[in-house]
Amino acid sequence: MQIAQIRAYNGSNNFKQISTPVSERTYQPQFTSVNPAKVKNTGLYDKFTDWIAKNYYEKFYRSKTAKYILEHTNGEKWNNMTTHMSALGSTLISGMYVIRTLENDKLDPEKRKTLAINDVLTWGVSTACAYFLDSKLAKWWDGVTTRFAANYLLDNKDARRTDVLGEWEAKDLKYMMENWHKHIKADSVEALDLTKLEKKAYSNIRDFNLDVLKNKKLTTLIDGMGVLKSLFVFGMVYRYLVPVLVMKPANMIGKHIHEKKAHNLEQNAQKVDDKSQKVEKKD
Amino acid sequence: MKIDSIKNYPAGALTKQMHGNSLERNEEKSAGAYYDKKSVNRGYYSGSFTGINGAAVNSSYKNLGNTLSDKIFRSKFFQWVDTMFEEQSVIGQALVALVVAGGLRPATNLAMAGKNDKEDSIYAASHAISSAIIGFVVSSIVMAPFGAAFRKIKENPKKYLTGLEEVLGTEIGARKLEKSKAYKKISKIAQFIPDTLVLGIPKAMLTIALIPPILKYVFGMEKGHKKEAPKAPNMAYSKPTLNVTLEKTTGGNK
Repeated sequence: MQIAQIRAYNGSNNFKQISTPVSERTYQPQFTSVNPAKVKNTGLYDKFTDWIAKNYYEKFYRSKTAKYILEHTNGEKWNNMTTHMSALGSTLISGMYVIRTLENDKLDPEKRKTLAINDVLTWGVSTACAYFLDSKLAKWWDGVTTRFAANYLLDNKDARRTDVLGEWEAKDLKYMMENWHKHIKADSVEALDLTKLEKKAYSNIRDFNLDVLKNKKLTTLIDGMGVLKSLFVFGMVYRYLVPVLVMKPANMIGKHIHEKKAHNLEQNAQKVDDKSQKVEKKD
Repeated sequence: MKIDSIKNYPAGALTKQMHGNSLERNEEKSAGAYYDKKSVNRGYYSGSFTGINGAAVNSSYKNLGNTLSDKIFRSKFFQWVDTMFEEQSVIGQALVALVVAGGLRPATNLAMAGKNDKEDSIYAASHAISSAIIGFVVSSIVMAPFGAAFRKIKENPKKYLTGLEEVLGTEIGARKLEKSKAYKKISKIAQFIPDTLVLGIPKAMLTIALIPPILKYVFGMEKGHKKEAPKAPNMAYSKPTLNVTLEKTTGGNK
């Protein structure tokens, strides 16, 4: 079919335009050595970001602090650093509010204590809830991420590495994660790296992508999904679930208790007044 | 054995089985077409697809690309947001706060407010909106260059991280570093530190400063117009004051 189309072009005027003699051709500047991206990135902003990369990131990576942190965070529980940084941020801000409350001269010392304890308890409950929810959602979110990756592969055939793995469809991603090694094209030069890999079934899409698909954009997207989940969970718990759905009823209960106390105090005060009046009358 | 099973498919069987699993279908097409040509079939069509019918059907996504969540996943906007969460995590965090604390929480606060604590709820809503706006604006402006700088490290690690092979536990190279847990961990810490340790407290201060204008321009309440709460005598803490301050303090709990 394609050949027929080419033949048709041969007979058309369009073809003649392509074969214009060199002398009649107009000069077309060749932008082969200028990369538009590079032009865009040579500005002040680029220099500034480069300065940050060198003076902040590079220095931090090379710092003793970074080395110390890495040496002391070897366990599996430290892998999701996004959650720990969210918790650290919350701890610092809550700590600041506690200090401000304790230093507030307008409040009674007793009130300050109560409010400070309340702040600390709120922080504690929020942090515990956030970690709990984040870990509980982890497995489900892995499934969501795999489906997200399948959708990415649906739209990006190149990312499926069909040159190495043969034709397969994105909807069969989970099958491919388990059986990829059965489909390697033995005669493909690009497949050499895959043949060296351990023939294992992958349960994690990130690992499968890193080892088999090797798509850099997909790695970023998969990592982004993990960050999105953790930040959403922590944001929801810290800023919505606890302050609105927990604190509101807690405040209502607190109000009720205080009203009851105030009522009792008033009644007691009245009784004392009545007694003292009776004593005065007797005298 | 499996190749034989492909060979035994009757003519027309391929079109009849189009509803089946796509892997199987592809394999049938390929195997059917190329099975007899030994020059083409060099062994990688082992026929394995034909032996996993059940497994493949069970593990394949039904209706991929057509459900609402799939359409969201496939959208360029979602993928842009997703990339931002990875490369500009602090801005991502501020975006979540903007949606949750700037929209969802004030709406719920005001919806749940009774007659007696309406003003308290407005105050709490103002605090939440203020906190969300300040967080998002400050983080976006200040952290955007940090995000761009981080992308440079990610794209050209050899320029910045050479010599850190031992610390990061891998050779320095974009692909190698993707697999390094140490690199992933320390990168996330590096991304969050400017916001968490440097901007966190100034942002909280700015949040408090922004409450009066929000009260005035969003809710039409002037500062100081808040009704004086009746104080219960001889109590350690009067309930309305406690209530307001609690909402204030929990509002800054992030």
